[in-house]
Amino acid sequence: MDFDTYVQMGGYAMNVWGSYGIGIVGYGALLAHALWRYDRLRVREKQAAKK
Amino acid sequence: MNGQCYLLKNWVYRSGFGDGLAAQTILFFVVSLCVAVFAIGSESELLIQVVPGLIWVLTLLSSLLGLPDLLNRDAQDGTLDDMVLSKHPLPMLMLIKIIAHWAATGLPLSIIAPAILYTMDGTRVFDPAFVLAGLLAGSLYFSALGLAASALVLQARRSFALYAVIVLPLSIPGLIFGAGSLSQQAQGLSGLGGFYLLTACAVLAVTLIPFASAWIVRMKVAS
Amino acid sequence: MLTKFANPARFEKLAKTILPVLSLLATLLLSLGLLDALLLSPPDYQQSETVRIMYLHVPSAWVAMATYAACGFAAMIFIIFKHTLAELFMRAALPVGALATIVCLATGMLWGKPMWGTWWVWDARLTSVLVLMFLYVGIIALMDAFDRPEQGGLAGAWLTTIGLINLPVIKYSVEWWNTLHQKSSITSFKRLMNPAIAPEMIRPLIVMSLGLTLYAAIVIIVRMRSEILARKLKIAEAV
Repeated sequence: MDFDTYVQMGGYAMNVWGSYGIGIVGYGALLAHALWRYDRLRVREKQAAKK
Repeated sequence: MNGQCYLLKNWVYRSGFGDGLAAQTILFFVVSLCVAVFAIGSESELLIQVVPGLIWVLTLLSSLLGLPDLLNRDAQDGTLDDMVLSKHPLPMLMLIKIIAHWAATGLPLSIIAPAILYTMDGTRVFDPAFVLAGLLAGSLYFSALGLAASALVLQARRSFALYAVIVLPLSIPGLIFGAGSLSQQAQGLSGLGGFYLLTACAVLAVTLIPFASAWIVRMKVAS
Repeated sequence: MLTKFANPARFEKLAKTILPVLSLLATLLLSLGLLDALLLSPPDYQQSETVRIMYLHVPSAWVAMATYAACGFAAMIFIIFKHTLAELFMRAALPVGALATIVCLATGMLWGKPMWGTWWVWDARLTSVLVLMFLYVGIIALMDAFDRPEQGGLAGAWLTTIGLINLPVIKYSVEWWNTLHQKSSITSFKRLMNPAIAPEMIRPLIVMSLGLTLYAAIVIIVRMRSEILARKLKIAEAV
């Protein structure tokens, strides 16, 4: 099986890749936001400790 | 028991006639229905397909109207503290609240809506008594959910949208069974299955929600 | 055991030790699962390549419902014992469940269009999952609507408890009502060992479900740590 037919997903490329795109973007964004918020709070905690 | 009958009479009177809630609800319902019918157009075949669902949705939305006053005003003037401390059991008072709200919103609409539907129903598809029974049960279910929402929203900062956000998702089973039983009847089926499930929802809500609401109110008043 | 871990300091310690392990496992499972789901597993003889959507759709549905069940459990703990950690868990977990529900609905629509010929039908399964999403959004909105966070926590806990009634409706909706939605292939542990679908399809389904569950656990733990930190900072700033 070559690469092109694989990407076409039997004619359902939009549905299959669209689903995984939504999943990866959604779950990725939530994880990134959670980690970013935690980092920011840690920075604020260190600043508060200095004072 | 006598005191509770007096409270029931008093609260129904106050919410229904003292504030004009019943009149407002009826006005809202009839005007919205007319606006929707104008927007859809008066082709009677299309109309008779959508009007039952429309009636159910408008009954649900109308039941939201009285909610901001249902417990908030009691909380502001101190009646709620009296209710918590009174010798009557709080769940009973909550049940009376549901009935008072229902008497001012659901009950009049349940009577008006079958009459309106009857005038539009040229081929006599719907049995008015069946429509009435379904709406009575459904609006009671909506009022019970409304009380639960009012208890939850009590003391919140911005609240009006919250009533919709809480009541609407939980009301969907009632809406599906209620409107579904009518659309089944429109297809010539009995529609009784949906009606029974709707009644079950209403009974469940009316028996459980007074206790849950009483617990919530007691905690909020204490804090 | 419950009360042993229901202490924020002990939770911090526990989180610090298990987060690396969980992260490693989740990365491993999700990369293996994705590889299996998108490349190695065979296309279905009826649904051809669209069956690959299932390996994201079903795990998302599982995470959406399991998160709600966990929130319901935490809500009851919070109502009865007033444990702050239970409230923090709810605040951390609700957005995760809401996102999983949205992914479940979106992938379901993308799967439904080629298979059923329509993006959406108002049947019991789809409607009850939509209700689950509205419930998640409603609870999050309710919890944020109070000046005092503990009041928001209490109101949200009650709404979560009331909304628990939706879970059995979702679970049994495919059996109680006639619907386009297919019945579940894995109904019990016994069936898991002897499933109704091919083992090459069960494998990615289970690996992805486990991976996504671990992902949810990681995000929830990180968000709980943030909540604890935020409260500490708020108290420190108030002093």
